[in-house]
Amino acid sequence: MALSEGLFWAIFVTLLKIAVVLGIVLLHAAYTVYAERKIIGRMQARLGPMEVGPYGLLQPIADLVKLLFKEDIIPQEAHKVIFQMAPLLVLVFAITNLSVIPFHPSFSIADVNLGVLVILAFAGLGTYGIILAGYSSGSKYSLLGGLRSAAQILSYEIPLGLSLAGVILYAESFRLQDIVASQANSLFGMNVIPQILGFIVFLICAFAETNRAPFDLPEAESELVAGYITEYSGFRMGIFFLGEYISMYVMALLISLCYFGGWTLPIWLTTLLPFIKVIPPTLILILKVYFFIFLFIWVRATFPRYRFDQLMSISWKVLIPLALLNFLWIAFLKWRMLT
Amino acid sequence: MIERAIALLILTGLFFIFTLLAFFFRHLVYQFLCILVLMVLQGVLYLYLNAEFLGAIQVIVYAGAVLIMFLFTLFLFPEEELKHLKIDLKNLKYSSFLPVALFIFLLLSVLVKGIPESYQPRNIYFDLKEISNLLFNEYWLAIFLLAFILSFPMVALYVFFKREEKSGSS
Amino acid sequence: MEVLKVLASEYPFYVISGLLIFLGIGIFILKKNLLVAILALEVVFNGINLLFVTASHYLGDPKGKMIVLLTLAVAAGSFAIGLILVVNYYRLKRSLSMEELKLLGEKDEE
Repeated sequence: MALSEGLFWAIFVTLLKIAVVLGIVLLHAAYTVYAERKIIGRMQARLGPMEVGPYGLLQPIADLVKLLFKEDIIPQEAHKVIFQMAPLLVLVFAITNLSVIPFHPSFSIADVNLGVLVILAFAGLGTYGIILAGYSSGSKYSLLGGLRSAAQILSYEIPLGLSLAGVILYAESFRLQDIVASQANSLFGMNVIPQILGFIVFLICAFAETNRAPFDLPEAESELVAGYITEYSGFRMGIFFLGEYISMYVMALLISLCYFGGWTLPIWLTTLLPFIKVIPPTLILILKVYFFIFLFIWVRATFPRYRFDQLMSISWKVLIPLALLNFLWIAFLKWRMLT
Repeated sequence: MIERAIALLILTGLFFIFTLLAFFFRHLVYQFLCILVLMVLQGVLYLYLNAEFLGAIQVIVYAGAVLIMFLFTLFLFPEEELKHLKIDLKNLKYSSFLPVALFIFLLLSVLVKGIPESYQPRNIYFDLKEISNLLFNEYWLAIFLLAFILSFPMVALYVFFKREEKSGSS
Repeated sequence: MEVLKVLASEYPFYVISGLLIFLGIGIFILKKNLLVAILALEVVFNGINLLFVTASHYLGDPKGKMIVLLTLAVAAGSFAIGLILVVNYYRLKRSLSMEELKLLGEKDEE
């Protein structure tokens, strides 16, 4: 009947892990804003932020202070409780995804055996934040942004799940650690090589799920003023941006874990270049994640935005058949490997 | 066992609170939000019944897709239709409380008699391999029937919107 | 201690599934609104699902979980069709009340 002995110790260790992960990820999210402004500036032949600190390195801190001291406006037409709750929903469900992601073979906050499904579930729940923010603002632009995001995320979750089904079938497990281990043991070393179709589908869906360009229709600034964040100001707007950047990191981590072998390197690469083995595993994962974050920013600087009917027809007419094709191909490959 | 009892106590309390809120809210969106919380909590409840996969499916399919669809539909209606949904007590008869009374009586009778030993759970581990074995070996007919039934909504939608287009253009 | 023993058994699951079923039936009957009716049917459906899973866990038979898995998919499809019907009814009648829902078919427009 008594509480088990190691319970308090386990809780303490878990809290410590949460603090470490949260600290690192929040710092990264803050500096991704800086990196984005710098890189887009360089691509458009500008300098980007230069004023605060050397090369503008203290710009995120200045931004944070500015957002915290701004007045927090709640419109008269708004549903107050939902209006105040919606940004928190976005942030909470983005952060919760981090708890099941392993950063090292022996370091993850929760070792769940349904890791991929948990991430899909929380990504689906995070949509409510955006839709409710659009509804509760009591403004036409916000409502249109919320409706667009509902339709977009509902139709892009299907190819996302279908392309992940190929990965799960290949690894025979939902656990992210097992998925990485199965890639390291396989002939190709990475999941990208046998299922390049699935990877392309997943990458496009990751852009759409995080509301990034070229699929940032919910906050298209040329048609709707700022979409669902039109009425938000001060730190509530900051929370929305933080949630968006954290979900970008989650998607980048998921891509590099499911398709690029996570912290392992393919065998053919290590036999070709033996000195590459000394790189510690976490650094490999971090380099892959940085590459995908750079890809997110790069695409934002170069691609124009899609129209809404184009967005829908891409999902239903192109991505879903491609994902199904990829799934059939993986099933065939698995059958050949087993017999 | 004590952790399980405390967790289930908290969950039951939350269910009671949100059920009452869902019953007495007048605004349909607020009512919907309470029901959403109930559905997510039910996914948590499945974890205590050794059905992790069902819990994840509950959150993905119900909370993630079906209820978002409902919220989307709610926004298509004007605000006045959703605002004041009154409880209509005119036509309510006293006999309609009979099932509730019967249910409460049954629960109380179980409490008075006490839980028999045979009701303790037999430890069954329900993993995905077991599901897929059962699904594809014993229930294959059910799966094919399901796929057949699920193609109906797609066809219905297609026919409906084709007819809509025709009547709109003519 | 006796209370804790009751709480750790399947008793709370029965209470919760009863709550969900009666909530669904209650708002279906008392709020005569078509949108609420569809939502209420889903709630009842979830209560019954919980009953199935509880029984399958405590009797040691995986068939209950299987039934839930199969019916979940059908419920999602039927929910979509119900929503389409309600939206079109509202287009015709400009009302969501269940009491004005008397006729079926094309004669309704007269």
